[in-house]
Amino acid sequence: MSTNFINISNSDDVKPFLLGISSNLLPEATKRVDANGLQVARSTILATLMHNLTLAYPERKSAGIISAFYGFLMAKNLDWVNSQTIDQIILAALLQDVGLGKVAEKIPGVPYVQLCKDHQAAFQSHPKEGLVLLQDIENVSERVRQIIYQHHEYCNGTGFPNGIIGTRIYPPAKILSLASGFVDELLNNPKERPANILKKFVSDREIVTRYDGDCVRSLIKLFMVEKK
Amino acid sequence: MGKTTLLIIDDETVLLKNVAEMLTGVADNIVTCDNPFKAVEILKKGNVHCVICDIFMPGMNGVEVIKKAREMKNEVPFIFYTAHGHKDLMLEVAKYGAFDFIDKPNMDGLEHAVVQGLKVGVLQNSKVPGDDTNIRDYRKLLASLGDDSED
Repeated sequence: MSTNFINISNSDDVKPFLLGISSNLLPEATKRVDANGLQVARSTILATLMHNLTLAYPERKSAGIISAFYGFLMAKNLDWVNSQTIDQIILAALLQDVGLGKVAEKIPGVPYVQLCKDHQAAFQSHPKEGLVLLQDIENVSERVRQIIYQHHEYCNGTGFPNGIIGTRIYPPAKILSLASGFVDELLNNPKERPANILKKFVSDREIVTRYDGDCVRSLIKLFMVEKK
Repeated sequence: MGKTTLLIIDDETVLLKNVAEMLTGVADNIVTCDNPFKAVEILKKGNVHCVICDIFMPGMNGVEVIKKAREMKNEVPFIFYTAHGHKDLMLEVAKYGAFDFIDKPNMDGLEHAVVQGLKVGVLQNSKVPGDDTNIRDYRKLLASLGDDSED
């Protein structure tokens, strides 16, 4: 993965995963994701954290960038999200897995389901590690830290690290939770069209009940062709 | 939206007054409280639709206030003022469902957060769509994707 944090949206690592999105918001998404990516690249601490993550998990950087796009696009469809919150979701998406860089040495490089309990616990600590690593860093607000801390919480209470239910999850974190979960499905099936993955994703009751209803509707709408 | 009540809790009385002034007109009633123990009593009575609470207060911190509210089955949205250096409190407070976080001292985004918090607070006792309703709705939307999503 050669994805850099400058002109990230032009990367071939990103474009195929946005295929089929009918939204005319892609140029704005590109601008906003690039601007936040630049903010990460210009910060020595944030760039170092991302470097550490990429060494351990090269694919997570692209996952963060693609999640940032989906986070932006979904948020634009939700009337309660303002411009400031959108940028916070994008930044959180880019930085969501920095905690993984810290716990990497405790986890063998196998799929999550094959991990033993101790290794799963180490993996599940990465949102908390992310919050701790980003403490006291200039330009990273508490909102961004909390989105990262809660990006694996699920509305049905089966997420981690705290297993809180939908009404208690920080609302912007619900957007990143879905964006991140959907992007993982895209990356696991790189040859399939995103719209086809979406159909399977949304049709799987066990998966879709993890996520906020309005966020899921917003995600589906991204793939609806605008009728003239 | 019906009549809304906002409760602001902060031991710093000057800040309490300033924030209340800043938010005049955003809620129908604004109640200020410089004592977290008294704030818990106010929350017991109910009819508060959104709370702004300082995270660090002597005697009882913001986490303990929201914890007490949740123990009373009160799910009112809480917006916390935060400042650097309260990492453990921030890890803890998420468990109880913080609605938003505002960084001190600039209070950026506070008004928008309160408006959204009041909306959620007023609606909190209304019925939310269940999984089955949502899934039916998703199916309808997916059907409208049809084959347009293919090449």
